[in-house]
Amino acid sequence: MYRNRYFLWGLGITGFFLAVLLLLTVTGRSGRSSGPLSGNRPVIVSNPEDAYLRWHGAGQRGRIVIGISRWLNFVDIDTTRIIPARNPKPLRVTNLAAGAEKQLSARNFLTVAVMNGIAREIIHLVPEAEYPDRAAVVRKGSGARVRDGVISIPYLGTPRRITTVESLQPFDEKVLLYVNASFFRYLQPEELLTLLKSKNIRADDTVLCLSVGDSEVTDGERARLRRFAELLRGGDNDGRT
Amino acid sequence: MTVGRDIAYSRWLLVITLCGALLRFWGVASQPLLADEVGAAFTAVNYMENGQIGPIMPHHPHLRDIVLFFVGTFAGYSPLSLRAFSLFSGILSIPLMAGIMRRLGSNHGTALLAALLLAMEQVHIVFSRQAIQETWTTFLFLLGVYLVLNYQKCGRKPHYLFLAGICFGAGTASKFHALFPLFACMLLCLWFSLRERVWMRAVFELVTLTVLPFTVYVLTFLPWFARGYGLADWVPMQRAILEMMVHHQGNPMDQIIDRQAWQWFLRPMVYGNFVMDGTTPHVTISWSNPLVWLLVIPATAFQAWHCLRERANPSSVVDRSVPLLLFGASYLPLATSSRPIWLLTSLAVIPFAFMILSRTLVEISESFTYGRRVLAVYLSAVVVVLLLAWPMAVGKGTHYGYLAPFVERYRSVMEVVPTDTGNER
Repeated sequence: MYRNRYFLWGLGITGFFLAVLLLLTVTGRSGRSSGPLSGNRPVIVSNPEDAYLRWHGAGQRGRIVIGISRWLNFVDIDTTRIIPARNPKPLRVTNLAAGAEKQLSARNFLTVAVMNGIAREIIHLVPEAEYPDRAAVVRKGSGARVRDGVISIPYLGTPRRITTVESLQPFDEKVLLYVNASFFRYLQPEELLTLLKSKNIRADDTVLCLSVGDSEVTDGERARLRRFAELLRGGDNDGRT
Repeated sequence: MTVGRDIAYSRWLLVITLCGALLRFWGVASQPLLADEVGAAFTAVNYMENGQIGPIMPHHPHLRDIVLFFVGTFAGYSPLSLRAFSLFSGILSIPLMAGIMRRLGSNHGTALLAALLLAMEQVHIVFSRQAIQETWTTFLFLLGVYLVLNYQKCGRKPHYLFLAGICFGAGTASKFHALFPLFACMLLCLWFSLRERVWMRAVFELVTLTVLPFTVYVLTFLPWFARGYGLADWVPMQRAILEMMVHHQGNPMDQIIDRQAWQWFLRPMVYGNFVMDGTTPHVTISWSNPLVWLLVIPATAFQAWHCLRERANPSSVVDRSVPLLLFGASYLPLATSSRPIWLLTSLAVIPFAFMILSRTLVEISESFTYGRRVLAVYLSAVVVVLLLAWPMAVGKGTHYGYLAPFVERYRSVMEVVPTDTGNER
């Protein structure tokens, strides 16, 4: 009788464990929302933060965002402007994501996208020529791992990778794609398109950014971005970028 | 006669608990919120509404975020409501200490002494008055230990161990050091079952003290999963959190405060918090009472020696060795850690240290004439020292001339360190 009792309790606990795993899996899947966007038809925007506004407006949630740019656009938000430093009376607790949105800029639009739940994972694709500098810097930070040409640097529970198009491992899920004109300093549009196709990257929104206010982006790079847009528009329509 | 003793014991325990409650509640509603507490409230909302961890203490688990969010939502983000769970769990830990000692076969006096030592402990008082997870982690693992002992001593009824598994899971979901007593309790249960060759019971105990706490722990990540993650994402995220915890060096203010866990019981140590309350500096200092803490290592040696001497009587050895096992399992990982461990984390260890100490003090006092009087004098000294130092625990140290130089020593250093958000904690 006692043995049966222990067996039944053990079985119940195992059942509870499996039910919790199921609950978490279902919750995770229902946390992803991808409304109809441009698909493989690119949208050209003037500034990086326009990409955030577009995704936010379209109700995107829990997405993988691929940012192809010389910049990471991942500067931390200034929490001291949201969380009071001195003993406040009374304490008004506000949502940090809403506060972060008020600080939206070109430098931090991907940080804001993470904080607002649009991005559940960020993959930064930087030019191959600049990757070693990135790796050299982030190696010094704790929590970062560099392996096989990929820097894994999670941000407060959000997976984040910095790598090159060449080192990116193919994956199945459709992504939100952001391409900045600055990336074309090193590559021709045709080369980037070939690389992306070889990695089977599929996007259900492609935002191309001219970075009009950025003095480090040249007119030549912007012209190449426009040609990249033409290539995408004229490309096959099998859903791949 | 026994009933009369039980009533007297209950009354004394009530008095000690009420004294402990008074020391913890006094002025708590008007004590300014510290940077950690303000940050914890924002972090709770960030976690529950956005599913994102941080910005403060991102390396700690998330039960604190869930509790503070619900408390804040239903009772408002006032200092008292935010601190309610810490106060509640801090006060309840006092009778729980006595309950554990009684389950370990101690007499009434030993149980009351263990409760008194915790009630009069300044580190425990300070963190019962803060809206962070320190005292409730202690409460949850103490409740888990109590339930495991109930399971062992009351016919091994499975529901006791089931409840213990939930408590340890909730404790681990508050702070990882709850894993240490969990591990000790698992060893204890398995040792009995394997020795008696009751295999099904051993499997049940293993499942209840591994799978169940893990289930509770992982369940607290539900808001994070709601961001769109799957189980495959959870494992690397845990690895990143553990890495953060292993490399954690504290915020700038922590750098000037004692942070060597191996010295806890060798010299008096200090942990401090500083915040500006309007234009007035508010310094809270928790200080290890040397009259108590410096006796822990000799008491541990005394109990270990008695274990060896009494090994012919297994029942006595088990009761005596359980606090030693819990103390060793909880303290050794912290004492040998290569990263800084601050005095606030001693709440993972001191309940077990006080169990050992109370037993030792009572046994020694009973071994010679006038022993009880000597013990009474000692306890009076402990209480007097606590009462003299207590204003520092509630941020009033600067109001008392004899404490002012001590408080000033920490304030002057802490004030120059930026304390804006506690972002790095």
